[in-house]
Amino acid sequence: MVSGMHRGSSLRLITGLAATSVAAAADFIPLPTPAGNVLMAAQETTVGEFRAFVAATGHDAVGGMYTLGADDYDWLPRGHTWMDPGFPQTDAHPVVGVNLHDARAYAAWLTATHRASGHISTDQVYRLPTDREWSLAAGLTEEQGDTPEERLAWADSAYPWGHDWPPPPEFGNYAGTESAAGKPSWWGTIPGGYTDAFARTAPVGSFAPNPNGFFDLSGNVWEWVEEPYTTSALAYVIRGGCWGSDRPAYLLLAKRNPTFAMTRNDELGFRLVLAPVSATTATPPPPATLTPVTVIFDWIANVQFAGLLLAAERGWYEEAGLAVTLVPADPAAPDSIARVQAAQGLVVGIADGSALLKARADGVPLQAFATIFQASPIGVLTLASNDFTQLADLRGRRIGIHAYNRPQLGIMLGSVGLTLEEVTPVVLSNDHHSLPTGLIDAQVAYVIDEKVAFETAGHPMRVFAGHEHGYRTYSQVYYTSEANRRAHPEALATLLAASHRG
Amino acid sequence: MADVDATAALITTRHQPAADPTYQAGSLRLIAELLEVESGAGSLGHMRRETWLATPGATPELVEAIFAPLEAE
Repeated sequence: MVSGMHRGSSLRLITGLAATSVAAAADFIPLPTPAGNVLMAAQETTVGEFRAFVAATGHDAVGGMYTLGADDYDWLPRGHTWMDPGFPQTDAHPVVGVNLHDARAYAAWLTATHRASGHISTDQVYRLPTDREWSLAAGLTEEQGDTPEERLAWADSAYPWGHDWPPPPEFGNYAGTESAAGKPSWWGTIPGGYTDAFARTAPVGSFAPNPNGFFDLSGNVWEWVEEPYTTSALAYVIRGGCWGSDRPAYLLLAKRNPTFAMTRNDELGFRLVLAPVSATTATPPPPATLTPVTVIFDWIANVQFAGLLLAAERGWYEEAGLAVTLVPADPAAPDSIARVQAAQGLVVGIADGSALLKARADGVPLQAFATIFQASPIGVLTLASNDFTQLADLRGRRIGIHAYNRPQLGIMLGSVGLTLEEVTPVVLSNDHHSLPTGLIDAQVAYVIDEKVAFETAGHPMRVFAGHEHGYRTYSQVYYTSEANRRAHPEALATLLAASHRG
Repeated sequence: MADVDATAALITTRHQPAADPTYQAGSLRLIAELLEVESGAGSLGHMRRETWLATPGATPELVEAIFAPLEAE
């Protein structure tokens, strides 16, 4: 039974008790509070401990995990899980790929298990630390502010090792030079040649503890905290930095990162506290079972998909009862239709209206049910300084096109009584120089994108929008299989509503 | 879309760290014009039969296959 612990003493508990033989031992250390009755794990929860929990309960902690690849994209869903996060781990490593609900569920199971075995009393409970408790463990005893956001704004610039940057050698598991192998080109490392022995996670306790006895409180993995970032935010707090942290701001003792509760990624784990029930507010109940939906893009994850990306970031899909996985396209093969056909479960694709009509004409049983763009983003651009005030003025002119834009140009010209034979199409490839330099007079382009590129470079543009010149089609159309549309109308409507909220 | 700059910054940071958030914000402003250009405000996602019929490659049969199930709901 754990009670009456004194500051400075510690308690060793078998946190995966009675579950499997891989149970690991963890010290719990009293936090420096007046009562001294809240204890915090000296180490992060390990893969072995979490594995014991999953084996005992069947808890499903799989799905939607974002991991880092060697390509030049940011964290993406790549099919990894806490069991296989994309890099080697043993049972002694901190578990990653667990969201706030997974961590809460682990704590609830451990509480029940240890109460049943008599290791803790019915007046005690395992839970995630509050933001203030985590600060106490880190040595921040004087913080001011009612929310984590306010406390971060109030804090000074202390690091776990002092006020100088970068950290001393081998201080913790951060993004040292060792972390760069196999990373994207944009990956950053701590300047000055900082290095540690671990490219990704390290076994817990591999580095010296902080003055209060806590291991890896800085670095290794970010840790969930049981507190919203602000009083109104949907985002919760993670603290401590991780193996991928290279910037000073991420390694400040006071750093809080707002993170959505459903987030699973390869940098994020947790540790527990053991506290009296009287020092514990009710933990929100786990969400009801979520309906899994996969959305396959027809391009990379950028602002074209702002509604969906924002809904995912803000947790609005989960709020609506959906576990949505967004799958950006490979720009070398962006077509979504074949991938949707090959996928299992409730899968939604996004594609151009013409592409969907072609698929239907080929006998593919796909069903469009909404559109993101109510008009095509394709149009004709010319310099605002040119004399071409209407599309018909382009008769006899040189017009840059991608080879696949020829039909669209023909339609647009047809709307003003011209044909392709009355202009000179010039095939280009992502060329933003020929128009400003006068090599061509106009250019078929994605107005939402290439107009910005030209104007950012100092060349104001005149736009002849395709949808105002006969080229009528929907773009970025939501579709799914006919079978899914019949079987899941409510989930599809919910997906749209949450995406539109974004 | 209520805060284009913040949305663009968030998406850039999260998904396209090499991209310029100012550029992305400019793109997002143009995108906003296309979201409801046909139906007007308050009708995100809405599709019209006549637009599908005007789409290159459309036939009345193909368009009917899209709209009949939607209209039956």
